[in-house]
Amino acid sequence: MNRRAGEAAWIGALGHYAGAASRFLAYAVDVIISWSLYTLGVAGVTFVIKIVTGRSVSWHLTSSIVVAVIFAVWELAYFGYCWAAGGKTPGMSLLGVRVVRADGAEIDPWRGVVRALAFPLSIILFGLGFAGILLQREHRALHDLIAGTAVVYAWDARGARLRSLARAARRSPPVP
Amino acid sequence: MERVLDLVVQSLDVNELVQQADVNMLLSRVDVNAVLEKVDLDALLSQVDLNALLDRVDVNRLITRVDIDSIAQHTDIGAVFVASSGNMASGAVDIVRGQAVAADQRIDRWMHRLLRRKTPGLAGPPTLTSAEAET
Repeated sequence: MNRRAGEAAWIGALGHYAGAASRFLAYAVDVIISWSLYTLGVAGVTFVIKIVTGRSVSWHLTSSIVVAVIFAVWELAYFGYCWAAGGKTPGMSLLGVRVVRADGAEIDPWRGVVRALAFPLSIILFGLGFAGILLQREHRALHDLIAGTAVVYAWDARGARLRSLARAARRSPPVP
Repeated sequence: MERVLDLVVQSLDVNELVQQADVNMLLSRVDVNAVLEKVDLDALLSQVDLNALLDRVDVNRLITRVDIDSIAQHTDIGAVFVASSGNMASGAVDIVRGQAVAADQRIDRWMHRLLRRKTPGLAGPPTLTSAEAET
């Protein structure tokens, strides 16, 4: 497939079901962001506790069940809030995908919360819950099926292509 | 007399006469400017039904023949595209997204082959893909 034909294939992808690579990359970005925020928050709280009480606290996930619960609640809040508020997490925004209802309508906030609650199921079942992204025609994982959602491309590739062409033309203006 | 004229006209070979005429010379003697001055363009245009004319133009077909890529590259509209949301960071994001979508489509093709699917499924949720088709 030549470059132009390849571009033509993804230019018309707006509104189509997002595939495994985009979704995995978006998730990886979200894991990095949520971990970073969690670490920053924990560092801040630890600093305050040390100043006030003079004791240092260990927040390592394996150190206590309380820390593990706090982390789980934080992850739930991060994904749940993002999906409920706008149908996309920062990672999804970066990769140009978003969560919609199975019929394509805007996601209801409660569906976003249900999706976040069901998300751990896809992981707990040895990751089998994610198999639907690869095997299903609609690329819906277990948590998508439970919440009645789907993930689609929300990226205006046509506009992006025109911007890149214009940018390239400005870098190398035509020789008169 | 009328009878004679009819006979003369019938015996004339008009095609042959036209072939012998030097049309270029004839046209060179016509003062086109004078002819145009006599034409009342406003009156002519007022008789044209523009709506009927536009109804007969297939705008969708016309638009498909427009090379938007070339417009973006060679006109100031390109600068508008770049200015609309453009910096180098957004360019890099576009590249990453494009690569991810290309990878998605490659994985999709492999899975179709692996699962021996004959027919492709829906590209996207019905409301989104039908809206896209309309635009």
